[in-house]
Amino acid sequence: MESSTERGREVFGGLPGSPGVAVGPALVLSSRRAIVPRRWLRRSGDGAEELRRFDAAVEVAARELEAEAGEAASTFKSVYRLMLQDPLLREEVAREIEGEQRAVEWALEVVVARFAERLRGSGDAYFGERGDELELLAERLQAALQGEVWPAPRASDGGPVVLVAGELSPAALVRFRPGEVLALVTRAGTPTSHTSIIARALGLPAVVGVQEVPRLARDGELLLVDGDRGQVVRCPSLAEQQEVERAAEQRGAAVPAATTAGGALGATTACGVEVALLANLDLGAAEALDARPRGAQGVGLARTELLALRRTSPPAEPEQHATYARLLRQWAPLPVTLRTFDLGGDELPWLGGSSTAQNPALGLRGLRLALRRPELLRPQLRAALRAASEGHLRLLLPMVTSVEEVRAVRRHLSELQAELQQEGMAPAPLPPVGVMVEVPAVALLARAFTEDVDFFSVGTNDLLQYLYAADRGCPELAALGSHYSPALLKLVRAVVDAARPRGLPVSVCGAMASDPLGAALLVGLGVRALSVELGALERVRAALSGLTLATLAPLVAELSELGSAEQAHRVARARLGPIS
Amino acid sequence: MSRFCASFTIVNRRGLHARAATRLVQLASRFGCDISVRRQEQEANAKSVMGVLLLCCGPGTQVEICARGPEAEAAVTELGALIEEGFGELD
Repeated sequence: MESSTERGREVFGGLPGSPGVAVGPALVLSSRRAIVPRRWLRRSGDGAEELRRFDAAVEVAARELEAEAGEAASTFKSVYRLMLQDPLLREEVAREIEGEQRAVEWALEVVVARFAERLRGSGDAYFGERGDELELLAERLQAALQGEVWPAPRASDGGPVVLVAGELSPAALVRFRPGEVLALVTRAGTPTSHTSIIARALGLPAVVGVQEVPRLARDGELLLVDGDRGQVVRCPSLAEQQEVERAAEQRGAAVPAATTAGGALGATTACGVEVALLANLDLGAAEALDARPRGAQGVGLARTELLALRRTSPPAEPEQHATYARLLRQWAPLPVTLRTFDLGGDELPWLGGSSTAQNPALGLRGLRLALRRPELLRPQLRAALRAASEGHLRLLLPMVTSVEEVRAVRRHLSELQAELQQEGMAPAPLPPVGVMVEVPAVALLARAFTEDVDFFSVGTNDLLQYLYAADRGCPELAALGSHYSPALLKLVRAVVDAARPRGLPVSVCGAMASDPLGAALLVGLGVRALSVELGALERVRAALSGLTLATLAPLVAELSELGSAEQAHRVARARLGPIS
Repeated sequence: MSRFCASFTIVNRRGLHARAATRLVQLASRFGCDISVRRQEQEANAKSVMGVLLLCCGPGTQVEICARGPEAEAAVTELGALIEEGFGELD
């Protein structure tokens, strides 16, 4: 692998979108898909509360929109306000909540995907673009639901930037205040397209139709955008920069800041450390079996819960076998990590589960439940063993607390394997068996587990919930679920250190791995496999490609000693810049 | 209760796009009656911008506006006029 590259001057051709010339550091906008929590309602009576959360989020988002948009964007404001407060949107979200029993975040995701698909399916590019905008507005709502101010990306020093993006809709531009953007460079678009029209309205130079986007620049690299000639120069010479200044002076325009090539240039590529990027999938969700996404080196987490929920009887072995076999075939020879059902008793009426536990998250769930309900566990293991010959299977056990539980599963596996052989089948060798690290005790005792497991997969979301005694579903405590927690960093390090002597793989599949900044910290901790949500793959890859272990290792050591996640997040962001 | 319906053709260049839909919804929302927009088999609430957008009415599309309730006739007439004058966007 290459160690580092300093990229030199290069000229890229495009179409003139909006006149004028400007120089400034690039800010590359990748598609920022929020990670949407997919929960079912705990009780069917919770629907009213979920809908109330939706209304509150709409209010927050509408207020934010009102406050932040620049003047030129005001014509779009009324459209966005109407879209946010749309009765049909609310009606459909309510139906997903009440009818399908989805929590509001998931309900919103489903409805927006449906609307966007219909708009894109019209075959009219114009309506398709409205679908993109709707998705951006939905991200804003998702952020509001999670109690966050919708983040607008910023340059590391907060100075004005040249935006580089596949495409820029008015909804994306509305996030920036006047003066924060110097120029636009997009891959999509023509001189008459939306981006160009807005750029002209805002008086920003723009070059559109540049095929090399987003590769042409990394964050912070200096770009000269020549909207008159329709070309972009990366790392322009000093003479070229001075020429831009002279031209601006002649026009009597103020010279935009950020014309010094300084330290922003010479971003380095990754340090030669290989980090495997794996995908998280939901089996039973429509998109899971559609296609093998480009760039993923396997499935790090195939959730199976959807196969079991909302049914009147347990999923039968043949049905499960067909699903697993298809998944394995699709990814072969890459590994597929199948996680056994991670369910709570109260979610499965057909189990006779009338769990009245006060804390379902601390009760009979995951493997705890499965080991007590062989009618749930055994058909699943049998289906997986039968499918194993179709590809590269790994089995992952959720909510594990003790090595005895792992041994019990191994006993089931041996029995089932013998059963299959007696029935005349020739099953593949037993697959590797790994455990989810979600209970803090497991992280602390990881060395003892290395005798019984083949790999570890850290679920940062639940690990945080148990570490901080903070219910993931409680919005008021959301800050306690921050994966920048120094305590979490220590636990991940403990698992990595325990696994290393035996050469056991450690992957991370929680939300931390899908967050570029979180992913960077994990690599610093020694994690070499990240399982991420599909929408985050490219973002995480891009973030890691710009970092070196020489930066990350000392950084995580320092962060681990801080007193709060907030502090750690701030330091990490300041040190690594706007990679997230 | 009285119900009025009339058909109109979308004449502006972009069709019933975001800004046009916004103007339609804003005008419809001034009336107290129920108003629908129908394109072939699909029907939308004329007071929902999502609903109207989802009809994906390109230029030349025929739509039927129906109103029921107070001022139904005035609502259909005014909305029809807005559509026929191309939402004030005709070149």
